[in-house]
Amino acid sequence: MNVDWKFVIEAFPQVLAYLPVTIELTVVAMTISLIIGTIFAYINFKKVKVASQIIRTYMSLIRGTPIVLQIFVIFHFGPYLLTEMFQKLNIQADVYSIKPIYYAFLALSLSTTVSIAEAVRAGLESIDKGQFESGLSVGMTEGQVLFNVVFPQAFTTAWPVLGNILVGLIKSSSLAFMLSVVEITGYARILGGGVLRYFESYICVFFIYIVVIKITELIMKKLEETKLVYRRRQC
Amino acid sequence: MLSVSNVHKAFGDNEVLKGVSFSVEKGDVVAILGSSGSGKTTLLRCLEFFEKADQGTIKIGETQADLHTASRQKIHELRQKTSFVFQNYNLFNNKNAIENVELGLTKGHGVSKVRAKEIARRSLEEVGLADRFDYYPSELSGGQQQRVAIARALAVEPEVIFFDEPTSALDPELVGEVLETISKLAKKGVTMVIVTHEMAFARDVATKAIYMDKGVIVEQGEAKELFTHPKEERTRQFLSRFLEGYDYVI
Repeated sequence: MNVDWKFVIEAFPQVLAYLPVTIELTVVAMTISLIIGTIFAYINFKKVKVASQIIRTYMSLIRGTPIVLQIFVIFHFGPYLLTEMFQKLNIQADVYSIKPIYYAFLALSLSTTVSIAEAVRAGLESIDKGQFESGLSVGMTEGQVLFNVVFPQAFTTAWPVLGNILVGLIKSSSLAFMLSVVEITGYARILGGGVLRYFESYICVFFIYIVVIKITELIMKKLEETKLVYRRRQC
Repeated sequence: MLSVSNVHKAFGDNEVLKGVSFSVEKGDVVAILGSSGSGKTTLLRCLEFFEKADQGTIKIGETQADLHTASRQKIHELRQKTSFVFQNYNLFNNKNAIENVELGLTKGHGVSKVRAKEIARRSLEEVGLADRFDYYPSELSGGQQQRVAIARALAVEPEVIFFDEPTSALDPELVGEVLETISKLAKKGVTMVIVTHEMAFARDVATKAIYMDKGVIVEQGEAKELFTHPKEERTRQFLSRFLEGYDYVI
């Protein structure tokens, strides 16, 4: 097999130019999922009556379907549903002016939220209820105990899993191409298709993913060490 | 100053507390004695609202509440007047010694950061941990952790501190340092309610003693009196092992 390395070198900067799109997709979807996932985790952890049942149903629905299918549903029914909703609420807006990337944020957040909710819940379950009680006993409110004592520890426990989820999300962001959002994988496909040099353009994406994910792993590791300082020595 | 009346609590069919009442005056050190399963710990946990009692009232100073129906606001208000020392210390694992003490002051009682640091230093010095300010709980021995917990409970200047078997989880050689710390507080006039199995300690430090069995208070009174002249047969039986001078427990 002939690899045209010259083409690889030429294509590399062009593909790399779409890295910000990949990063944007990852960062936005991760942020949304972290916020909603943590709320879901807490509701499930506290076993809030109706709310936790609704969330569990949502979670098994999302977990039970492939992400590709979720994207199809969003792509085909999303605009239709929005049009209906806008009409009902009398909002004058053109649904088709909504940028595809917003649908991609939604699509990627759906399943990531579920993973994060479970990771954070596992973290919460690992904390002794004595941590809550001692906080309450010195006059703190439940919210204060949660944010100063419980969540910091829960996230430390969940951290390695959250790292995995983040790395998974970086890779899943390539699915946004199905929603016509062009990120690195999408652009490599376009570029390769134009001159029938798929293999070369995919080599570029391969290296970009490897490096980006390695860097992410290193950052997560470094952060984990600083978070773990309180467990440093056992007497 | 603290008065508790008619506390009832059942876990399913198991009636753990069957109408417990007692009161504590300012400066009192009350020892609650009794064998395992007599409801001592449950009583203390009900008073701090960690368990919801089925019935009963608590009054601390001017604040009165029903142990079963108290509102969140009321519970919070009462918890700010008390603090609690746990059997297994329950220090905040993600905070070092001084932060453990500060947190209750800054968040729970609205004390400024600077002032909280000052109080925290003083409290830790008082329990003999001046050289352990920046140690995390995982780096401290059980006795040291419990002393940090005592400093934390003391720092918020509660009207009363509840101790739930503060030495039961400790190695025998570490029990002394914790008991010594508590005795020091007793001499300073800190009001305390202590559930304990340390009989000699209860006799020497407590001003009042309560003997509980099967969910009721069998006998209560002056600690010296209860230890030397118990009125009830059950109390006598319970104390006999201790009074006969066995100094080992298997």
